[in-house]
Parts: sequence; C-alpha cells; structure tokens
Amino acid sequence: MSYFLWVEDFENSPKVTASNVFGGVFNDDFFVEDKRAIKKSFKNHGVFVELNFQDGFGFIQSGLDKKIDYVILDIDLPAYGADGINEHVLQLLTDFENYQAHEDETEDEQLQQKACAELKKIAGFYLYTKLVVELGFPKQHILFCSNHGENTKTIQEAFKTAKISLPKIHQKSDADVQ
Amino acid sequence: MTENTTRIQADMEKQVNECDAQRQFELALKYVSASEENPELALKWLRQSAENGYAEAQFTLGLFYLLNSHRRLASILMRWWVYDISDQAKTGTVDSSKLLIYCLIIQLIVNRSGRVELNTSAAIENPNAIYGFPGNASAIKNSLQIDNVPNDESAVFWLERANQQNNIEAASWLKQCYQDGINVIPSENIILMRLHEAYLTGESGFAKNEDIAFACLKEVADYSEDDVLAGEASYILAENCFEEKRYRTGLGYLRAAIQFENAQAKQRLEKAYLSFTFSEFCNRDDAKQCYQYAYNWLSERLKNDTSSIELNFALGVLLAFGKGIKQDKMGALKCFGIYVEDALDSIDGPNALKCFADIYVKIFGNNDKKLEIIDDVGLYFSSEYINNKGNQNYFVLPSLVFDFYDDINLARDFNRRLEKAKGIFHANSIQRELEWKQKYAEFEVRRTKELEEIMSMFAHKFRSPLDAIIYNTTHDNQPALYAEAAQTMRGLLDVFSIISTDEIVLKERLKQDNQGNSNLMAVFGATLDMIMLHLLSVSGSEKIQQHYMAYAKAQGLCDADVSYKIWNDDFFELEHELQNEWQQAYAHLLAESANLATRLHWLEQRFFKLELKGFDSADIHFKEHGITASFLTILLNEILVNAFKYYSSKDKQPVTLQWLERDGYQVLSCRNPSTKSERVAQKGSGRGHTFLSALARKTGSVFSKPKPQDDFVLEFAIANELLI
Repeated sequence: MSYFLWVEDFENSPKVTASNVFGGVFNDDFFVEDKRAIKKSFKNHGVFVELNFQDGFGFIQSGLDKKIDYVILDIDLPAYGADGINEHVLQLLTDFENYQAHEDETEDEQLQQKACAELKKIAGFYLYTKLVVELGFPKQHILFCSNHGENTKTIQEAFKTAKISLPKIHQKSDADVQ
Repeated sequence: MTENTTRIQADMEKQVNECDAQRQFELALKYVSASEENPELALKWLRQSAENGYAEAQFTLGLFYLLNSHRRLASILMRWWVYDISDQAKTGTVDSSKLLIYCLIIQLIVNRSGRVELNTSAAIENPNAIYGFPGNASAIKNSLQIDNVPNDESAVFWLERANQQNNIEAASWLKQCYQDGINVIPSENIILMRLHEAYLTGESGFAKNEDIAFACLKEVADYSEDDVLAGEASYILAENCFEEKRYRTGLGYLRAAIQFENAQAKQRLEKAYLSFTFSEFCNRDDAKQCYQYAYNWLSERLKNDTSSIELNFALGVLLAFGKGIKQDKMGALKCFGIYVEDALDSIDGPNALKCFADIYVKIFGNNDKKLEIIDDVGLYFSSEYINNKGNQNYFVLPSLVFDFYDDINLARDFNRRLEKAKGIFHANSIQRELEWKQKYAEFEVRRTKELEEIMSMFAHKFRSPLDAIIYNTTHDNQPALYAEAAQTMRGLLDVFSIISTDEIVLKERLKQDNQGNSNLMAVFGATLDMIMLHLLSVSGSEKIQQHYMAYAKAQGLCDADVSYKIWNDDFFELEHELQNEWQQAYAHLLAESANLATRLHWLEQRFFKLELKGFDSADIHFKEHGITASFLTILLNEILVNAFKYYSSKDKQPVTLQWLERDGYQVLSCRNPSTKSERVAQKGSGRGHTFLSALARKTGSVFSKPKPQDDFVLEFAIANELLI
C-alpha cells in the first residue's frame, strides 16, 4: 500500500476537488462536502490530508517517517488554520516574506496578515522546496494539483530563477488529461 | 444744350417747382445722371422736394447730410452701395435714395476734392469699372466738408420729418443716431458700433450685410480715440475671427482689445489659457480648490525639476491669472520667458506651449513684436473649444490630473479622454508621457481589483437569499419566503447594477426614495433572518465555527480545553448536529412568525447578545424592497455577518448595533468584541471592507474601517440628504 500526503485547502467544493484527484481510486461515497470528513475517511486509506500550509509544513517536518510515498500539493494555501500561527511559520514569514514583528499589536496584526497573504499565493512551492531541497524527497513523487492555471507562466519563471529543473505541467486542456 | 431745350427745361422746372414734390425728387435724380450731371442742381431739387413734404426726399436729404458730416461712415457705405446699386440696376429696381446719395457724394465731394476721377454712370452700369475704389473711400473720408451742406442737426431734422410720414428707413436711421432716446446724435464711433449691430442682424431698414457690419467695427477698432469703444470693437472682431478660424488675425485683435483694457478680452484670454493648461479643472464648480491643488502640486514638483518646460508653463498660467496663488504678472512672464528663450531650441518647430507663452509675453511684456501663432493654438481661443470641449484637448500635465483624481472611475474616464487627445509631447516630454502611462496602469490594476471586489461581493450577498430559498425548498416550502428572497435579490441586483454603471443615479434614487411603509427596523429584521439562514446552513458553518465550539463547551458536550484543531479533527460530527439543529430551530421561529425580541433572545442563547440602539427612533422611511432598503440590506448584511464571523468574548460581551445622527450624517455603527485568534482565522478575504469603501466613495458616505483590536468599531455614515 502506498501512502500519500495531500496538502489541499478545498477552497472550492471539497467534494468536487477530492473526486477530481482521487475519483479513480475511491468510491463516490468517499467524496462529501465537509473537508474534515474527507480528511478523516481518507486517512483510513493511507491518504493524509492537511488543510493549510502550517499543518502541511508540520506534517512534513515530523511525519515523513510515516513512510509517505507520494505528495500532492496545492499551490495556493492559507498560511494557517483556526488554531493560529505557530513559530515555524512566523520564522518563515520573517525570512522570506519581509515580515518584521512590530511593537504595536494592531500594526503587527496587519503586517502579519499582509505577509500571510503573500505567502498564500506560493505556499505550495515552499513545501516543495522543503521536501526536495532539505529532506531529499524524490521530486518525481511530488504532484502539484492547482486550480490556478493562470499562474503556469509564473511557475515556470520561478523554477527558472531558482535554477531548479522545471516539473512537467499538465493542464486541464491537455488531451492526455482529458 | 440748345436754347429751345433750355426753355423747355425751365418751363418743366417751373411746373415742377410749383406743384409736384415727387417730380422734384425725380428731377434731382435726373441731374446726377451721366448725361445731365449737375450735382448742385440735383441738391437744389432734392431740398425743394423735401420742403414740399415728399418723404423719400426728406429721408434722402437727411441721410446725405448725415453722411456728409460723418465721412468715415460714408466711406464704408459707399464701398458697398456701389455694388447694391449695380445689382439693382440690372433688375430695374434701383433704390432711388441710395443712388441719389451715392452720386451726390461722389460728384460733390470726391470729384470736387480732385482726388479721384470717377465716371458715376459707368459705376452704376458696371461696378467693375470703378477702378481704384478703395482710394475713393479714403478720399471721402479725408475730404473737407463742403461749406454749404448742413450738419447733423439738419440731418436729424429731415430724418424726423420723413419718420413722421412713416418712412421706415428714416425711422431705422434715427434709431441709430439717437442716443438712448435722447435727441442728441452720438459720436461717430457709437453710430458705427450701432450700425455694426444693425447690419449684422438685419434690423428693420437694414439689409443684413456682415461685410458692412464688420467694416464699421474695424473702423472703430483701428481709428477710434475712445479706448473703451476701440476695446469693445476689437474684442468683437477677435471673436468673429476666431469663429471663422482666422486665428492669427483674431489674436491680433484680442491683443489690441486687452491693451485697451477690455474686460471680456481679458476673460477670453484667461479662459483659453486655463482650458488649454487645466482642461480638467476649469469648468468645475470647485475649480478654485482644483487650482489650489495644482499650485501646491507644481510647487512640490518644481523643487526637484526646476527646468521642466511643462511645470514652468503651468505655473506661469496660474500666476498670470491669479489661480491658486495671488496674481503675479512678472512671475508669469518669468515662467513663460524661460520657456520662450531657453526651451525653444530644443523643440522642433513651433508648438502649442511656445505659442501660448509667446502670446502672453508679447501682450504683457511690452513686446511689440508680431505674435507667432499656429492654428492649433488659435483653436483654443474659439468659443467652440472653451465652451464645448471635444476630442481636440491637449493635456499639459496628465500626471497632475491622475494625482488629483484619487478615484478609479474618474481616472479611467480621464484616460479615455487622454487617449483621444492630440499629444503635445515632444522629445523632452517623453518622460512625462511615460509617467502618466505608468500612473494609468496603476489605476487600471486598482480598477480591475475593485471590479473583482464588486463581483465577489455581488456573488457573496446573493448567498444569503439563495440559502434561504434552498432551505425552504427542502423544508417548509413557504411561498412568502420565496417571494421575500426573490425581492431581496432583485433589490441587490438593482444596487449592484447602478453602482457599476452610474453612481450619480444611485445617489439620486436614494434621495427620491424617502417615502413608504418600510423603515430601519423592518430592514434589520429581514436582513437578520436572511443572514441567519445563510450562516446556519452547511456552507456557512465554517464562518461561525467558534460559536458551535463555545456552545458545546458550555453545555459540556466536549472538554473545555479542546483546541480548534481537535475540534475539527474529532468533533466535526457534533458541529454538524448543532448546525442542523440550529438551522431547523431558527427556521421554525420564522415559520411561527416569532417577533424580533424572541429571535434575538434565541440568538443570545447560542451566539451573543445583540443590542440595538436608535433603530426604532430613526425617522427614516422608504419603499419596501426599494433602492434604500436594498442599500441598507447590503450594509447590514456585511456588518452583521462580520459580527458573527469575528465575535469572541470570554465574558459574553454584547455586540452593539447603533443608528445615530451626527454632523449631517446618519451613522450606522457596530461595536464588536473580538480576539486576535478570531480575526486572523482567515475567514474572509478582506474584500468586504474594500467593498464598503467603494460603496462609501460612490455614495459620498464615510466608511471608517475598523482597526484590528479586541473591541473593534465599524462606522458607515450616510449623508442626511440621501435618507431624509
């Protein structure tokens, strides 16, 4: 049995998104509108679902020993969930998104929100880098599944700038996908 | 002439002399003809006819005396009458008076003065034979008045006599000669000004003739010693030239008029400069504030860019006409002078800015040099441009206007005009052109974002009535609820449609919607029900998750230290149960038509206490589901949903929704207890506040965006005039 990590926020319909990705594997009963129910039922079948960047990042840092074979990443992910932000993500915002803690709480909250909004747009790439560069996870086992096809060019440019070989990008319009 | 002929003529004259005034007039005509030319005799018979009461003779004699007394006027009329007489001769309808006066003047004045030889009969038969006529005009003007011809008083005497016999032409001329009904002949300049008007409009007794009209004006403009009249005539001539697109001549007259201190000319100059330089500002009601803004803007820019052609030019215009700063002609000359002297070499050929600078320097800088004018500049002095700006606008400083228009739609409209406008940008202005393009690109990004916000909010606000419909379909299926939801959606469509097209219409419709059965309490009640049906639905549950969790903890349904993550992982089924139960319970309240107090009490048991202040005492009325109701629904929907989404209070502080009047505004405020963990829980996109800002801007309202703090206050103030 292969194990999957799927980091996906289900911004649109959870049922449709889950069905699009795992429709060929699971029965229709698996796909419901509550993303938390999806998370619970998928877990029993070796698919670990995390719903935001912070939880995905935490899973990768601490949970790869669960013998994850494949990772599916969304690109656009909320920085954190209802539990609030943790120190790892705060550090990442400081290192890469120009966030500097401010002594005024109101001001600080706004700065943090702004940095999180920036991170959200490319959160999946941070996870990819963490997996491939830091943890040596085989990049052939990573699949980006994003509903943001308009960012294809940006993705290509980002990989080029980072001197990372470009992954194969399948688009919904491609014949082999359809 | 034979002796027999002379005797017959003497007999005839004797006969005429005794009885027939008309025959006497005809005899006068006879003695100006080529074959019988004897102007003294002609004048004698004309007088005789007039004295015998022949009206046409009285008019002819009066006008002859008048023209003899006013040679400048005579010289103008003679020039054109010769053509009239010739034309009339061809059709056999010669105006006897005009012919007689013309011939008398030529024969008695011009020929006698020895300056010009003229064959009058040839002139009558063929105007082309009147060689050198301009010389004649000059000769008439410069001739000495013949001694035995009476002056103005006699002229008026005979014109009045003719007038008494209802001679229309005499009446018309008297009107020009009398000053404001007083029996005093005005100066020749005034007569000329009046004749200009008479010939221009074709007043009774004067065949419309623009050539004579403007010849009269030109005479005053060129030769009058009366500065006021000369200024007035010059200004009218300038206007005429502008309308005929003879800009070079027109500006010459405008300069003359300004030098004669003509107020209208100064005003025209000012309008032309302002229309050209500040075309976006000059016709606005708040133009004064706009110029003040422009002056401050220019002053700031010039600190870093002292040699900028456009900046100096624009500052020169403000100084020249005292806009945004005290009038300073020397300062203006300096600004324009820099342009004219230093900047011209760098520009290929003449251009609009150079011409404008040049015109000012030459008018106000004691510079007698000829104006250098190109047609493109002259255009800006025409009333067509000043009063009705078309697509021919030039824009000197687009970046100033973009900075001024801190509004996406205004900037967008401006850019449309800018794209259509002819450019004035030359080699050294490319940087500025790039600046406005960059500025516009920024506005476009903002515009697109705002449009996206509106679209997003549009979709968002539809969710509440849609959720109500969906729930109703699968549960009680009440027709009244369908109707209510449909009306709400229609109202929302109305508001969004108007907002995205014409905000002025929105304000007008709000103003007009001030009568009807609906009021604030009714809108609040309906909006509350609508958002509750949405928030209590499955799709809305994530937004109010903290309320389910807090309720479960309070009721002992889970441990008090359960975190959000654990709640989501292990208690989401419990959340489903609560969601389903609450949704049905609220729908049941609605089905039972529970009053507002009952519904608010139900809310307090599960969410928080919602305090309403000032809603029932506000004297605001409007139509049910009308534009005001829809507008307020959108506001309340946004504010109430946020209250539920971000509420958090350990000691169960209430949410306070208040309506009050303050400083001419109707203010809706919401005090909302919250905590950072709820605010940063990313339940929203932040678009709601952007949308409220846009809504405020489009309705002239004031939106105070709440600061992210634990007891945050949101305020939306609507001008009284829109609601009361």
